[in-house]
Amino acid sequence: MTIPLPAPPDLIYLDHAATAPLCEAAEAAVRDGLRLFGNPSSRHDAGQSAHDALVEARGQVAALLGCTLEEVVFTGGGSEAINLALQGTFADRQGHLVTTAIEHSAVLECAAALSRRGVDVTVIGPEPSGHVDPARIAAALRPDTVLVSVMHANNETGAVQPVEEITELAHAAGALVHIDAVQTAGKLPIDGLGADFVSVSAHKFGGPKGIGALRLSEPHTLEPLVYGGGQESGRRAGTENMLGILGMAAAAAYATEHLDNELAGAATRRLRKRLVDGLSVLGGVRLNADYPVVPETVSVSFDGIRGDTLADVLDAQGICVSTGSACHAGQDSPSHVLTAMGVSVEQAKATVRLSFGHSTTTADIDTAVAATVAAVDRLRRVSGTAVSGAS
Amino acid sequence: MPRFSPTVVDHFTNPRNIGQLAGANVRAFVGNPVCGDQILLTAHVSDGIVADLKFQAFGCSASLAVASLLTTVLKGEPVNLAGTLDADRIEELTGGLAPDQRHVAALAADVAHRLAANFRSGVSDDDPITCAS
Repeated sequence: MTIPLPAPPDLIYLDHAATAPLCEAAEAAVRDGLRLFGNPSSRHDAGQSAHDALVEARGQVAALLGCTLEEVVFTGGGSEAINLALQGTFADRQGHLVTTAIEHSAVLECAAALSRRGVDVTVIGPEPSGHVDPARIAAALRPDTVLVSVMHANNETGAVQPVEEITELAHAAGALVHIDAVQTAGKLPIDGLGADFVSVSAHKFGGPKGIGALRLSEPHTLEPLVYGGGQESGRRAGTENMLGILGMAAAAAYATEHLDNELAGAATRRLRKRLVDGLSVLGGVRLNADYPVVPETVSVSFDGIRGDTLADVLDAQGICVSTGSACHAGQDSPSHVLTAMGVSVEQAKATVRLSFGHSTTTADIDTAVAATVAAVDRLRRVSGTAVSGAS
Repeated sequence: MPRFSPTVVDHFTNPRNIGQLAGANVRAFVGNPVCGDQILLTAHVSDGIVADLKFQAFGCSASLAVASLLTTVLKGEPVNLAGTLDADRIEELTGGLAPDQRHVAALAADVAHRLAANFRSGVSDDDPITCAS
């Protein structure tokens, strides 16, 4: 197998919502972890060295999640964490699940599978702003509602959901709450979330792919998806993915530090403003979510063009953006998130997502804005679309 | 492996002969109802030769590229050449298309054939492109 050369240093990567580059600390932790070959469950020194590293790593992830070490369940990524929360909750019971139409497919497909098993599922649509109205969640709650699953921020639009209000409403009704925090870990504080289950994925905040975690708050328990040797306190069997866990822990420590840095937060908001202001010199530009949003994610539609074509033109110039969820890129169907918000199919297909991260510079944003403005103008001339007036 | 050949990238990043030709005496428009790709050619044909030719297109990158490529192939050539181009020849000219892009070669062949047919039959009022948004 030939491994392609690394991305050129002048690549402008604005697709952090799909995956973030491995941060230096995570890379170093993975490299150091290569020497820790012992099985953390073994009694001998080699095993205990791995065990000690695992405990330390668990503590770093627990700090990001705001929980005890015992409440962290390492999984094979965000999707598995979500599946563990949902399937684990309904493994031995029927009842009612409430979720929303803008969830990641890991939630929606899991909900569909549960529905086929007899779980009653209610899917709440978002408002045109991209946010879910807690009152609509409250109206859907029933005496047999077992679980409410809502994302902290949407992966396509960045719209931050009122998860605390939803959590209070659900708890008052006697329901459990799962928060999909895959898009907010490292961007917004998640350590204070009052939910019973919180899922995260390492590669969204600078860790490796294939490793995630579920915060399973005491005293709740879940039926595991994977049975075996009793690792993760019996909640997820299988010898621990040590390299992934060590990389995730280092990224979590870096993310926790970043979250405490108010200057970094202000810089992120300035980058968003610079990006949005720069694109708005074009007419026919629409942002697809109102505040509150995670500053790092900008979903924007340009009248008269196709988002996938714009993304290809930018890619040819070394600028990586997405047409929406990376999981759905390449599909012809419009975004289920945008269409659920009431966005027309045409506008949904005219959408790109630009998402940045800690490594993004002002120069990156300026270059991307200039290239996007030029590309949109050219594509509109190609399609013969006349658009006037800045939005 | 890159998703597009260098020729395709060249044409969708730097499309040639954009627009509608003022004073065109032949127009040809085709649209793919499934994917929504649309191409409009406007040409001035004099003595059977495509003296000038412009295009408008709405669609995926590859469809824009083949439309642009088509104008460079046909400009200065006998209009009858347009009627002889088939999807295989257009794909060859692009330097290769991925399986999910090959429909654009057929689209380009269709609009080229229509240009030749419209010239032969004296039709010059094909609908102009109406972009989807």
